[in-house]
Amino acid sequence: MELEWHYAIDADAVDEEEVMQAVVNEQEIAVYRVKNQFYATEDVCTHGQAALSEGVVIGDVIECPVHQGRFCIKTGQPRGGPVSVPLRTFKTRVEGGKVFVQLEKA
Amino acid sequence: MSVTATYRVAIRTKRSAAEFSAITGERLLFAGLRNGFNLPYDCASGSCGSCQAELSNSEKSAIENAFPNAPASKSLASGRILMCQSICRGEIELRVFSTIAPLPGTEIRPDHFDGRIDSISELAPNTFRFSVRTQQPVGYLPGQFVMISAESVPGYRAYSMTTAEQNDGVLDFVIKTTPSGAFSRWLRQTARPNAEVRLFGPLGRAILRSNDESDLVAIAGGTGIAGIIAIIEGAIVSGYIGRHRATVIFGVRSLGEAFFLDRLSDCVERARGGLQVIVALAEPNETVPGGLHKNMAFRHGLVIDVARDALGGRKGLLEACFFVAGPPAVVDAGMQLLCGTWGVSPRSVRFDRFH
Repeated sequence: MELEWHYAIDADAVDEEEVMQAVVNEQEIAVYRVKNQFYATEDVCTHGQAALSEGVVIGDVIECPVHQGRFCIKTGQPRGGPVSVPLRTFKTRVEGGKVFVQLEKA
Repeated sequence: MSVTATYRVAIRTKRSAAEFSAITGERLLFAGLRNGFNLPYDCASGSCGSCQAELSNSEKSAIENAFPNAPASKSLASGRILMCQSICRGEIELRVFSTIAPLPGTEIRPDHFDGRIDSISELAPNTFRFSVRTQQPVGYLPGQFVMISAESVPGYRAYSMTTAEQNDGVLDFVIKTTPSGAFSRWLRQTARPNAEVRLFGPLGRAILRSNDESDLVAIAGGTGIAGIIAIIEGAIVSGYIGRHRATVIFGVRSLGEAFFLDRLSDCVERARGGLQVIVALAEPNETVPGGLHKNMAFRHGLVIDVARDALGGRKGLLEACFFVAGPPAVVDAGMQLLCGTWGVSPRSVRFDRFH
């Protein structure tokens, strides 16, 4: 599986302990800033048609806005609520004030 | 000439916004879907909470709650509404919790339809078939449902079409009637052919998608077979079953309460070896007559237990496309078996929870 880096969002667009959506290669990605580090997961909750980027960041956990399922931002693992399937996570790097995510080559 | 008032409904997320028009008296979810927005929903009946949104900058009188006692409303945070039960009476602004996007091109844009009851007949004790003749053709994909409302029965209820496409202007449905069900009572006691109904649809995403290419496994509890049989019949006609194999496990309480067995047997015949049907009889002591539908298997047990025995250890199971439909207990147990026990990806399971 070949991976490549893609620009996702400007770092300034994501506040501390916040999450924003980026659409990269037609994929909806949630980009988080936690303790000034950036993380990325798929944006659609594995429990239903909800955008995690509309949810609440609590420490290193993202809480889905619809049924309050929780996932670890760093690993994508379920942390509580009705969710049971982990989120896909993506590597990130910051360069020149921009956040890049590593995705499969299209 | 009468003019129907419309109101602006503005929806937004953190990064995007859109607006559409709702007809006065129209449910917000219906208005958004009708206008081609991919609003989130599952049951569209007030039970799942998936269509919840947050009201902002709107007069309280702009929304009428059609179902104050909706099961999902009990767990809603303050300021949130269920779009499927919120009737538009004024301009509204909402924050929604999924990406604002158009309906996928593969989905049929739902709309309102007028119809009349065409026929009502008993399939089994407490299970009725009813059909609706619509004024306009209704396009849908097998496995989808419509919301139906009758004049003297408040609210809309979801029913899956039981045929792969509309036949001669008529849509077919099944209903398990209950003594306390208002629509059940209306259908059994009051409704006559030509009684007027309103429909909204098609809705639902428990369908075969155009890019699916794997074996099918369907687990249906009771009237959950409604959408499943439409999918199976459609898949036989299209040749999908033929290129791939399919298994249907259909749970009923007893042979006396079973229905659609002739149709399922006919499907097995037409599929020429591509379809396996197992009927799960919950009644443990019922004898199955020897000559009954020899091309289907009959097993005693609850549908999920029969599914576990029939499918457990099957080669290629994890690559199949699954459908689970029926009462919440059946769907929840099915999801637990498939995803929890066998490790099937939830993305491979399409479910239809009948509330």
